[in-house]
Amino acid sequence: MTCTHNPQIDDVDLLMALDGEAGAEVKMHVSQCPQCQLRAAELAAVQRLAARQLLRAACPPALELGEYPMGLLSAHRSAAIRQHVAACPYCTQELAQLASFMDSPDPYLHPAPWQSLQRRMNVLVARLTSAPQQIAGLFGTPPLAPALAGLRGEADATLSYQAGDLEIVLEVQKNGGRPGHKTLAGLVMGIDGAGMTAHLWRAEEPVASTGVDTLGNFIFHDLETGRYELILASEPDEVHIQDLLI
Amino acid sequence: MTATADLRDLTVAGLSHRCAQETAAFFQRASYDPAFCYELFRRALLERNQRAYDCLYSQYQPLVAGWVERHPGFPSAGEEVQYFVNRAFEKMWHALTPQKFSHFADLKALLSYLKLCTHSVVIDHARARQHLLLLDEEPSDAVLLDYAARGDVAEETIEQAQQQEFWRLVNQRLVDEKEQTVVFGSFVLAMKPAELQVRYPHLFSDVREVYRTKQNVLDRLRRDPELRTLRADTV
Ligand SMILES: [Zn+2]
Ligand SMILES: [Zn+2]
Repeated sequence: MTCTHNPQIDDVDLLMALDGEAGAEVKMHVSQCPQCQLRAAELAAVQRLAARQLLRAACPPALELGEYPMGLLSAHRSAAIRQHVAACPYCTQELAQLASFMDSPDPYLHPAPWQSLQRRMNVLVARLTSAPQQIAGLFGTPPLAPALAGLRGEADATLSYQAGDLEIVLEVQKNGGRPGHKTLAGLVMGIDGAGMTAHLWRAEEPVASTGVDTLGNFIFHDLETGRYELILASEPDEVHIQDLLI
Repeated sequence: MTATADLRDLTVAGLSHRCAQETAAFFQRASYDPAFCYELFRRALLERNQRAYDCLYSQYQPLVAGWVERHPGFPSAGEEVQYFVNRAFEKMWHALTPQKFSHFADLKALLSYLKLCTHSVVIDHARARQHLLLLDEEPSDAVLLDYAARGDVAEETIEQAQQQEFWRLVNQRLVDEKEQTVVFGSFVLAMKPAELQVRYPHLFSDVREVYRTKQNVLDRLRRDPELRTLRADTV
């Protein structure tokens, strides 16, 4: 459909009219000419499609833009992004926002001087040694004494571990109360147990924690059967007993 | 006790325990040892150990949530904190590949990168909204839901790649600096022709010249068989 009104106007006039930049004469023409209105609508649609496809099409993804000031990009990519940012107000603004976000007070990333004091933890993985014959001191009595078995629960297994100067004896017992559940009793030798904590983990989740008494005894009740990790902690020392089947 | 175990002899559970203890010590302003948390990151990202990744998530989820809440783009995002937390961890998992891991020498560098991932997921969201705003399109529920569902990093990348490819095709068809300036300014940066004329007076003597250039380019592009998506009948 071609415009038959005079004076004729072209697509440039119509593009200007769409932005409100056209003169009075063109405005008047468009308002009275159905053909030009149709043509203007077509041009508007094309512009909209181009904008939808191209808006910020040259911008790097937000993550890559952020990797640029962190120095994580190749020289080639850095140069391309530097050039883009110089021309792009959106990316310039995003970079400024990133800088202030990264610099905002953050105890993890900007620790106070007293938080930067580092120490070394001594973590030992205990080694399974042979099962002991008789351990004096476990709950103050020989652990395998038949007379006390009923009181403490029946021992399923007795395991002995070594970690540095420490010796650890563990006894897995049938639970008195809950069928299918177990009790884990332990004795740490070679250290004053006071201040030591025993932590039990299962499948990467903490299950329970309990204190170790001055004689080195600790006990966990009502444990489901399964594979555990026992951690004996008295900072800065720690012993990990891995692969403990209860 | 003597000689510390090699960190690599510790299990993921053992590392998680120490990482939690060290983080607590850090916040109680006590001296701390960052080696265990670093090792957990190394297992997760370099060895791609899913269990270690899950433990990192548990350990640092509150930290990332705090970052999201303090990000200037969050209040206007109209999304839950947890949404961005999950996206941030996914982003780190995809972006911090084993090849890249060697750039991160300590825990602080890794946490900085996690913070950058947090920023970038909020920005991705803000860009989508900005798109609608600059294109003068009503952010309808359907469109926003569509953006929200686009949490999948892979899909986002495809979309960006399509846009970049389209920009490359268009760019190839531009004959001179005037056309490049008009198309880049008008469509990539959403500038008005009058602004372009003021910014580039050496290219355009008046605003009508900007419009004339734009009209020429649009006419050529919409006839191009490779750029069919620009034809009005596909509206
Ligand atoms: Zn007309
Ligand atoms: Zn940009």
